[in-house]
Amino acid sequence: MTFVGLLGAYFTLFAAGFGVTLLVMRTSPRTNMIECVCLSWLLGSGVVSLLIWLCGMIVSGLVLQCVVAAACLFLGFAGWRTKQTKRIQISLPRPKSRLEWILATLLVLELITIFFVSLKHTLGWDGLLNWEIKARYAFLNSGTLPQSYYSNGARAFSHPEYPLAIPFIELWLYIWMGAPHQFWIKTIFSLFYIAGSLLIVLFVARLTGKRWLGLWIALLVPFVPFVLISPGGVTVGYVDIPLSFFYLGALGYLLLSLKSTSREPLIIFAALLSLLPWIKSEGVILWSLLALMSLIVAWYQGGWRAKILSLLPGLLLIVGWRIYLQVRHCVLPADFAHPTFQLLGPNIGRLGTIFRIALVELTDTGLWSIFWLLVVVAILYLAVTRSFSKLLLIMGVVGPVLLYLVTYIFSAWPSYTAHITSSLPRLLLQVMPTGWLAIGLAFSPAKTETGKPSLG
Amino acid sequence: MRFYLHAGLWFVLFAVFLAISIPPVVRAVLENKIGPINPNHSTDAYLDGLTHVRNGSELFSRLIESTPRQKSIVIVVDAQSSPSKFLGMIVAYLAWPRDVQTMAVTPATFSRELASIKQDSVSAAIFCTVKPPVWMKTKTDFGTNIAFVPIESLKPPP
Repeated sequence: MTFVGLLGAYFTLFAAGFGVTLLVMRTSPRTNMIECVCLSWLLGSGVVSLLIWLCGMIVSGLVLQCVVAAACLFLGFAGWRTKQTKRIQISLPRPKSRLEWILATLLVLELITIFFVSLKHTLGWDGLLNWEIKARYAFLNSGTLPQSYYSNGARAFSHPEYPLAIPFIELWLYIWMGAPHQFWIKTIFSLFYIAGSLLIVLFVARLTGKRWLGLWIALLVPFVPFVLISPGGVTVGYVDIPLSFFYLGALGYLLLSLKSTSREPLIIFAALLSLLPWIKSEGVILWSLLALMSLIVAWYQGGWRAKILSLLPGLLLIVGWRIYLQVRHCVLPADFAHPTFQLLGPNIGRLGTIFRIALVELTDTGLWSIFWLLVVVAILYLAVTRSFSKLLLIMGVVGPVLLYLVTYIFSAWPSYTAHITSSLPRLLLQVMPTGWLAIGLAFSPAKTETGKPSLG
Repeated sequence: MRFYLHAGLWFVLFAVFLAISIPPVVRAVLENKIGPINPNHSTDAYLDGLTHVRNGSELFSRLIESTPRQKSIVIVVDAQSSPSKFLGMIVAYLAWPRDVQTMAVTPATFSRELASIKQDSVSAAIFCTVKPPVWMKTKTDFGTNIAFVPIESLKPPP
């Protein structure tokens, strides 16, 4: 029964995501099935968690489940109708050469392995005590997090202020299974990984015109040791991997929008961008950076109205969540002091130590192998080309790292160096897939600007 | 010539990357086994490791259910011990929907903190890797590192 419930949860979630994806892609006569499935998962998880949060303010229990499930099925149906009326063809791209067949087979085997490996481990500290805890408490309270959770200082360790995307996807599974289940919810993290890995194939293939290169780069991703062996990776139920793929997705579609006359990539960019602050608090930093990049693109390419409109949903979500926390009298964390110029003056001297520790982290081969060296080489390659899209990609890789490091100037921990060493590796992980995209593009400098979409 | 330099450089970089990565990644893939497929998969594993109690989540939840809902539970942890604080968080996690208060003590503050517990609003104290004072006669040991002390025993002797 538990397993049937799990399938029901996944079916409704994918139905919602599939519907939204097809509605977004309605201008395109052909759609890539792999892209469609990846976006169905990413957008479906965003839609379901937002629906539970919003509907949970009005209804609870079985009514909440019925309302959200009905909305999911309606979205799925609306998407299907759009596909039929617009005659959108969904096609599964097949490998075209022996090399592509070999790499594609290896990638499938690798993704299956990662799915099973992720089931071997327990939820890590954050996975259990920051994320699953919210799903469990909401389930035990008929689908909504009670006021007492937000205001209980003794449970402030679980960061009640963190956004609810991942906990409410877990909650959706619990609602359908009929009980909290710490084992089965781990499947969502490997699904995020699989979707993200396939997006890497897609972006590298489309931006370079070489599908084999996309497959090769995606194959290399889990060989960054952090992905499989450390807290924060794909196996322990942390949110950094999902966040990293939302960021990659948003940036990837922004880059694709530069090459496309269609509005489709920009709309997908807007959808993924909007969900960034809903995945994790750091998503606000990534959202801000991408918003800036979007405005730079508008300045370079025109289309101010569309770019500004694409920022509004995310802005609304950021403001809405802040208001919600205030209304709930949420216990706010004390990890960072409020950034002021008075504090900046005495703390600016931290920068030297911050960058020194960052260098130690980046060169830790036990966590990263020589991944960051590859990224540096890739950035040098991309910088030499002086192409606008590649400079944008450099900004997408370097920007978050610099912004994250600068935030430690305002760390309120008694030892800010301990704060850096405990959190920086996971922050770097959020940029890792984008780093692989940069490596893929650097490896193939000649065709970057001329490549056509080769998947689909 | 440029093409060969380019391809050679990346070949070397990818080769070094994989040479360093493969041993730890393969170890990570091979270690552990799947399961048990258990609703309390993670909390059971942590309680097993920290208290040596099997099926600990369910047993602990039963212990918590024996306390009145309207009163809170004090969780006493060692301020200087990370495992104690982590166990305290697991206890807080499992104690839902009971209200909890966490008391991080040091040897210097232990007695004073215990004396400050408001007896009328608290139903029990749970000591995580902290030994309850000897005058607390009625206590239930939950494995090796958790002691459950009902409110009646929290009052120090005159």
